[in-house]
Amino acid sequence: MLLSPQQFQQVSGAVRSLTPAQLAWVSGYISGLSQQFDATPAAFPAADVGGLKTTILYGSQTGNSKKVAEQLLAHLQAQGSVAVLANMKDYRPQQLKKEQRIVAVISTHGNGEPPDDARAFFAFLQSDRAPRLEALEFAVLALGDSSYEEFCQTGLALDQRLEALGAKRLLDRVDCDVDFAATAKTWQQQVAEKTPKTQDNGAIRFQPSPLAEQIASAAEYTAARPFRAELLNSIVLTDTGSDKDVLHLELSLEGSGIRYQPGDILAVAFDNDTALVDEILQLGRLQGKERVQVNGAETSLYSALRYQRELTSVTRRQLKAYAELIAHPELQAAAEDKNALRDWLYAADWVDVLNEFSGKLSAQQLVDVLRPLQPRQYSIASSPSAHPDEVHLLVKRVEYAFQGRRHLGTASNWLARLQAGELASVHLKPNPNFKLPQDPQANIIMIGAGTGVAPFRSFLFEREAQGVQGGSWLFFGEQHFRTDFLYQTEWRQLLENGALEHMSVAFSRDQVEKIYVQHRLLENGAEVWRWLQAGAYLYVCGDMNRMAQDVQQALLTIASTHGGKSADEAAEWLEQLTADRRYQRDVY
Amino acid sequence: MTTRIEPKPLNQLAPNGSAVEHIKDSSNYLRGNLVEDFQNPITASISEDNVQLVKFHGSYMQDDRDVRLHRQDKKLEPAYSFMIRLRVPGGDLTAEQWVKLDDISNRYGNGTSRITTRQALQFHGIIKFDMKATIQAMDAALLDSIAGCGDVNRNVMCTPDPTLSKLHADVFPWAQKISDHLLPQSRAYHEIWLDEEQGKTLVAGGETDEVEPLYGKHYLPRKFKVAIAIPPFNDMDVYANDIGLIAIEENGKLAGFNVAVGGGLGMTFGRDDTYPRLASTIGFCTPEQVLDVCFHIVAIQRDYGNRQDRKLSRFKYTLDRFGLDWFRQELNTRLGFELGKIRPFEFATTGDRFGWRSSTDGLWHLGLRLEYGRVLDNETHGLKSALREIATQRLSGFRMTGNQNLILTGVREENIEAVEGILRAYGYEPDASHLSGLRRNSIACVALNTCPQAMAEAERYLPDLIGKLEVSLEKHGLRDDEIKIRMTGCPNGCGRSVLGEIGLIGKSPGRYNLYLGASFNGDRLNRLYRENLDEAAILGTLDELFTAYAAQRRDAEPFGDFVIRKAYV
Ligand code: SRM
Ligand SMILES: Cc1cc2nc3c(=O)[nH]c(=O)nc-3n(C[C@H](O)[C@H](O)[C@H](O)COP(=O)(O)OP(=O)(O)OC[C@H]3O[C@@H](n4cnc5c(N)ncnc54)[C@H](O)[C@@H]3O)c2cc1C
Ligand SMILES: Cc1cc2nc3c(=O)[nH]c(=O)nc-3n(C[C@H](O)[C@H](O)[C@H](O)COP(=O)(O)O)c2cc1C
Ligand code: SF4
Repeated sequence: MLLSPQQFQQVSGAVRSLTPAQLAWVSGYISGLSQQFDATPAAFPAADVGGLKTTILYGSQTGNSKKVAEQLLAHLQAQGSVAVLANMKDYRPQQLKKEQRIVAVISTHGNGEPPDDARAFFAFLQSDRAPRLEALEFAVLALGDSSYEEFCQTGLALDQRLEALGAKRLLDRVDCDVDFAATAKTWQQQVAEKTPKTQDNGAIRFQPSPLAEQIASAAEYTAARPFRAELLNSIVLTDTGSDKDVLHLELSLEGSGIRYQPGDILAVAFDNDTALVDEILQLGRLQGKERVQVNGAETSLYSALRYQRELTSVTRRQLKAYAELIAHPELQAAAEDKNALRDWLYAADWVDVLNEFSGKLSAQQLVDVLRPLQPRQYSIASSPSAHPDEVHLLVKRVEYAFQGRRHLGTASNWLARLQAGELASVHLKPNPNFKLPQDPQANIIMIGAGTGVAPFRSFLFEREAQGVQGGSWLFFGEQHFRTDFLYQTEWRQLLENGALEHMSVAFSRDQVEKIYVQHRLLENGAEVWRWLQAGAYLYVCGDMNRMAQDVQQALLTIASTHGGKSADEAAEWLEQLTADRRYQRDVY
Repeated sequence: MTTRIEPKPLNQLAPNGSAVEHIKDSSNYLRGNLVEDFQNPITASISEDNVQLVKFHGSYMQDDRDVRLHRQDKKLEPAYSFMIRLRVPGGDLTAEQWVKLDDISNRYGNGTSRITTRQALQFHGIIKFDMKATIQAMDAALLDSIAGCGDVNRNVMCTPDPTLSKLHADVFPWAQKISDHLLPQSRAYHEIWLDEEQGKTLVAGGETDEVEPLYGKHYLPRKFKVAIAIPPFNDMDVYANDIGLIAIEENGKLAGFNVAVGGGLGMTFGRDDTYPRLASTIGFCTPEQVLDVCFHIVAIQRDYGNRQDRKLSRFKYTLDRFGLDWFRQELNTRLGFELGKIRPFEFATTGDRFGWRSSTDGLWHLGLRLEYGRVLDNETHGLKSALREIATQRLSGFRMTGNQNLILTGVREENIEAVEGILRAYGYEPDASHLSGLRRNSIACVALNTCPQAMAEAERYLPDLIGKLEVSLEKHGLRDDEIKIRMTGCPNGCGRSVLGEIGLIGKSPGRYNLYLGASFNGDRLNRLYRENLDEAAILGTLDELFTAYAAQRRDAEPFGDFVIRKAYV
């Protein structure tokens, strides 16, 4: 148990008389506090008893790996093992030499890159300076998403590098897909079994009490146990003539106890479109009433397709598996090639697959080849102070034509159809790596294109509500001034009252040459550099594949042009900025 | 007058001057911070101060009122854009200019051009960020919008029809000359929009008198309008102007002008101290004197006009405050000579004539009826494309009329068929004879969706309403009778609604006040007959009046005279 006996008594005494709603609030409050401590190394004392010490290291961007790591710590401590927990960000890699056993939980981001917090750790480990680690035992749990080409790449790289440095594998690496909970649990048990238990050291054992359970449930809405949030209002922000629909959604959090911070993310669950389900059944020559097993429970095929399986995304691995099932050697060969089907896979859904490569699967085979339906994540666009009891999202409705068919993004269209008064299943995903500076005087530079501007609305309304002094500069990009200037009147209001100091905009399609946020950054390079030299925090949110990379390149250019840095120095400077948490990104 | 009111010294801010007076005062001769404001990328609007200043450059900030609320819901600012009003004295454009202006409306505007009730051309829907490019494109067509709007002399009108009178060729150039003579001299427009070097014509030390010898740094208290009419045609509504000049022919030559002063049509609902007023004819001047006469009339208004309350600052109120006698005296003193005696003349009509007519030089001119000046292509016709084609082929000149119509001027006889052919090919009837007399004699102001002052529809609604009235006219055998109907979306009277035999002035969406009894030749205002009528009530009321008119009128008695004789108003 993490608490000393006295602490436990204090805490449980303090919360005993609370109602569930109050408990929920307290848990949110405490979870908020814990995130503030995040900047300091995990403050859990290593029990000073003999025996083998396990160091649990995590690298996490959106909190999943962190959660798994914390669960593991609790598990190990509960069984009386000696274990400490550390964020890779705060962990000096030179220390690895002194470790006996490292258990790492690490996710993959970008296109196969480490989470921001783990970049420095990785850079060191991959470098020539990395020490030999013959004395070390290790195990790696990799979190990832198989819809990305570089599935669990970071975990894989860590696993291989540790081996290359001479360390001994305690367990084979385990790769988790988006539905990581069950796999992670099994892995935690395997680690626990391999970890020696010491004598009871006097700490209180974890005793599941009804109270603790209540706390846990109030605090933790999860995908499996979401909060049902009522839609209060839904507005299409883009005007007639725009190429896109971008929606502003207001959901009620009343009674949930959910306490979020600016920068956090809301996950939203949804069902597949019935028309799409019907089309898949038809193409697969299936009824829908077939019985299938999903996660060990039996259900109808229809219901599995409607509520439990992804139908709009296809990964290369899935396609390979599918090709094997229908015995299609050409497809199988194509799916072996990382690049051959890249663009096709990006746009295709399962109707395209079944259309293009028809073959007969059983109901169960179909369900097994499909991936579990995952809640979608949306950056919260509201401020807890300015919009109490509400959470706002900025959602681009995904729609595109491919193979002569109209493709609709599942979640975004589900949300777009949602009517005021209807409910959406949501849960909070804290985003500790995208947070306003603690220092209210600090200046912030925010760069967001399209829906990437969402968290900055949250930031600015929060700073306005708190009366924060620090300067702010927002870079915003979209296609057209007239139709796509998301939240325009609000920015104008924030500019007028001073909560927003500067705003630079780039409307890419209002002139012949395309102008994007990175161009505005470069145009303002000297001033941006001055801000950064003076300690400004930099935030980037939105499109990962192009915008975030172009912005990063622009920042490097600014460091060379205005800071006189060489290419290497500029890269180092940006790494340092990241390590100092002054360059935070929320890109997707 | 017992208490003599002191004139405002030039370049000295009027005591208790209105907000606009202060804006002008600190604008550095109409510059303000227009340059920076037009670059502010966060909004398509400009500051309130600059909205006032940019008028002097010929432009109004507007927003698409159809979508105002809908955009507010979307957290978008109103769909701001700018209207630019060209200065075209006498409404005369060459074919080359027409093509260039057509390009501008397509490229920067909302795809339409709009001929105004003062013979000018307007573009709507110019986005702030395109203003400079638009004005430069206008410049390339040798046109500008200086003094298109603002507290200065506006576009000078002149009877446009070259066939109307032998005098025309003598008179027409005076529109340009008067316009030039009363033009503001500040180089602000050239610097801001045309990249002229700053201070180019500023004398060292910036001697302010020299920048604006006529206007000074505060310009006029309010807008100012001059028009020239050639009797018997009053198609300029000359009495609606601050200065109305009536060309007098003697021995087949231009002898000079009768001078009328103090016209203005605007009024404000709920303010009884505002009213429309027709100009009073005060004398006669020769062509050699006319520039001086205009200059000094403007200068008197500059010095004595009300600068505290803009609702009362038009010249007509200055005249009524000081009296015509005082004014004549003041003017004569300033001129150093006395105006001559009013010469006899007669006005017959305020309308335009449609169809082909030739002038003595053997050239042909086509009077083309436009629906309220709007040049566009729509589902039923391709007028805009047709005119462009005619201009591209250089088949005619283009002259805009004060009734929002167009004359294709100077067509050679052998090209008549080509011109008609093009119009017909685009589905546009060259002749207006198929239209009812009411429709041929109708004017509607712009109103919604661009005019910020509009309380009700006008341009977009009058065609429908007339269609419904035609049913009743048909019934009473009045289809071809010339009855003058005018509609404005508010009592400012841009469509000169108070000079309509039937005047409809918007009060609120779908509701109009009905005015009756102006004269057909434009020398008598109408009077309020019924208030707040909806469409059904308008149709019902007018049907009754048409019934009576058909049954009881005398010979060629115009409708406006009939309702007076019968004491409807
Ligand atoms: C375009 C035009 C009407 C049309 O359908 O053709 C027009 C349109 C507007 N007029 Fe006018 N006026 C137009 C001829 C007139 C006339 C008729 C005339 O001059 O023969 C009058 C009545 C005569 C007079 O001046 O008294 C007229 C009296 C007004 C007034 C009332 C002035 C007053 O003394 O009370 C306003 C409001 C104001 O000035 O405050 C006004 C204001 C406006 C504005 C600029 C609205 C505004 O204040 O923002 C309108 C722009 C609408 C738009 O979207 O285009 N307009 N306006 C005419 C342009 C003439 C030109 O080329 O310069
Ligand atoms: C941390 C994070 C924060 C996010 N924040 C936001 C946010 O604030 N607002 C927001 O709108 N989204 C946000 N997203 C994205 C969001 O989670 C969803 O991915 C998005 O809404 C699409 O989901 P969907 O179910 O509608 O589409 P899906 O059914 O998942 O379909 C999307 C897929 O369709 C394909 N596709 C999309 N467009 C095209 C195209 N033009 N051509 C070809 N193929 C295409 C792509 O493969 C894409 O992955 C965020 C994502 C993350 C990870
Ligand atoms: C923007 C973004 C990019 C990602 N890129 C990858 C990737 O390249 N490969 C992969 O396997 N998973 C990728 N993922 C999935 C994450 O690794 C997965 O969501 C994981 O559960 C996150 O764990 P964390 O919260 O500890 O960071 C990506 C996720 C996001 C949001
Ligand atoms: S009359 Fe009124 S509504 Fe019509 S254009 Fe003039 S100001 Fe606008």
